[in-house]
Amino acid sequence: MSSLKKDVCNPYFSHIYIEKDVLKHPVTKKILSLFPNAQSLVINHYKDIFCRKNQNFSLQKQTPGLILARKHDNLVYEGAPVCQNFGNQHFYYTSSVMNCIYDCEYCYLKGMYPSANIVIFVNLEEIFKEVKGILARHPVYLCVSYDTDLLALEQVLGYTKEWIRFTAEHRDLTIEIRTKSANKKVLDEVRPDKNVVFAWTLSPEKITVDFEKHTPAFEERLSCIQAAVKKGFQVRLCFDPLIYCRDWKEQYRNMFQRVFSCIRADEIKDVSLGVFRIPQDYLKRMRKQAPASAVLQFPYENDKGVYHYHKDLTEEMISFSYELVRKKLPMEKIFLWEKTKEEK
Amino acid sequence: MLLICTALYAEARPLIDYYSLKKNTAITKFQVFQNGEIKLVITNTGSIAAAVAVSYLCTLYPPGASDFLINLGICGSGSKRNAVGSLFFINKITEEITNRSFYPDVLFRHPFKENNLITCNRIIRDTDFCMTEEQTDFNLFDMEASGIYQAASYFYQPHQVSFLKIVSDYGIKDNPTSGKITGLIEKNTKDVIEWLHILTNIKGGKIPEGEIFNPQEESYIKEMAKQLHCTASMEIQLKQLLHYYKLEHGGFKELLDELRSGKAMPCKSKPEGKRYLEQLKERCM
Ligand code: SF4
Repeated sequence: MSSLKKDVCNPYFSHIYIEKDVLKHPVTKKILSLFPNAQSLVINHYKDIFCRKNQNFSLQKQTPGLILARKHDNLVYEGAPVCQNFGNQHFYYTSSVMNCIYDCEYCYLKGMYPSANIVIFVNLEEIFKEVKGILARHPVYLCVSYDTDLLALEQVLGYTKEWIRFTAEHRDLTIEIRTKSANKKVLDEVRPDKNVVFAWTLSPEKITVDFEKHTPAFEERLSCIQAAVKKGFQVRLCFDPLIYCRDWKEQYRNMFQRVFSCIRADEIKDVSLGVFRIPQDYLKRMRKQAPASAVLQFPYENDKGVYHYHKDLTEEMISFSYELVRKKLPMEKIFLWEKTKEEK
Repeated sequence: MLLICTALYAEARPLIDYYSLKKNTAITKFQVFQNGEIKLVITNTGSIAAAVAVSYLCTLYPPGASDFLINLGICGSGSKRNAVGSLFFINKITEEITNRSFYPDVLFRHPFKENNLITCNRIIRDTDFCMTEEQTDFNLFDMEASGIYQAASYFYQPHQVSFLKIVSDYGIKDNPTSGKITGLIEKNTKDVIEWLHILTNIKGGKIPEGEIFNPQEESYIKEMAKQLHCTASMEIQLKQLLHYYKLEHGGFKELLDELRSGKAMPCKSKPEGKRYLEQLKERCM
């Protein structure tokens, strides 16, 4: 769907839906104070809004509402097989927010969720409690920015800082904060911690401009990463998903050159590489929403319910990128998407 | 298409006049007035009658992705803070008998104050409500909105359905006259029409399904599929390849002609067709 003119749509978060249960929660109060002009509506359950049938995801994406809710069960999940676990045995993830303020054309959330409204679970303290329970059994590696970009929402939410504070108190916990944001402010407000990994997803400028709407430009992200490594933060670079375009080799070659001209190998924790892949049901829904999207209409191959580039192209993209990264980084610092390794 | 629903003729009259709507005498179950892209149905009072009218009209005229449904009518107010004659844009509808709530998506800007509404299955008398100045929840009540929303949700997406309600009373003492009702609507007609004008000019920009290929291309693909002995899944693959190629290059006829040149068509067998499809795939990248 093409963009509508700004003056036609309501501004972001013009409507805030609040579960009755969390009306008095401090996070609710804080968020409401940030949007004094929003219409606030009391609801029974977030699914009354989020799971309505037949919603228009693409239009909602242009003017998302906020839903403030309490997460009841499944506060922390075990990592799914398609997730990169970076060699960590006890790999978990948690979604304290559903959906994202950025609008990447290829984002799987468009196929996974029925709505583009952003759900914020305000009961972070209960998620912490569940993590403590798991920590009592074994160490935990936890992705806290799954199904959203937590750092991009930091000004509204402050959850990144909360997680970092919590991690500082629990030394068996390592957290990964996956992001495309360029929020340098947070880096000034927290102390580097070896158990906190900032994982930046990077794509060539052309891919960013064409397919990653509302995200910070490549150079802005890079400058934020530079600031992070200078301050001593643990930084992971995620070249994942690698996205095909006609001149992909040139695009990715230039990108790797640029990245590694600014950042030294010893400054970063590791790198992950993976091609675009997506469950078939998600892609089916996304293609329907965006018939004019080249990235979604690409003739992917269906491999046991997961669509990705055909075998030859997958191998070519991975080995091309791997070789370039390998010139700068030792092997043990490069993680490939598991499936790709199997195929090799 | 814009479908306007009102419960009463008295509520519809100002819009019938403004849009010069003419009665469609072919429809006898409900009074329907229309002019080009605008249709107006008088649903009669009550949520069941309203739901039936909406379903009936939507079956006769199935709405598309850029169409809208508007419910315009009078309502009661539980709070005297809402002045008689003031218009509200409804963002939450609660059905009194089931206590279920429905939420139209308010994605587009509008100039009205928003409020929530409760749909009752009876006329609310002035003795039914305790009308305190502080009462904030369920300020407004009507008899149709929840039925309209539920029926409409089978045909429209939540952002395509809007409810505009004008306060007529604080619980009814005597039934308002048609003249009074029309007067209340007339007071707001200018604002409503201006907004409807903006709303109906919003183009979602969505390419309707099936319009990726023009009819000529569609028949060209069909012909190709036949010549390649495509199975159903091969035909889907062929379409997906050409869809992508068209997005990248604007068209695909030249590509197919080029690949076809020098080859005997139709293919002799399905395996040969498959090989051709593979070649096509390579060319599409
Ligand atoms: S930043 Fe990540 S979560 Fe957000 S839209 Fe892009 S892909 Fe989706």
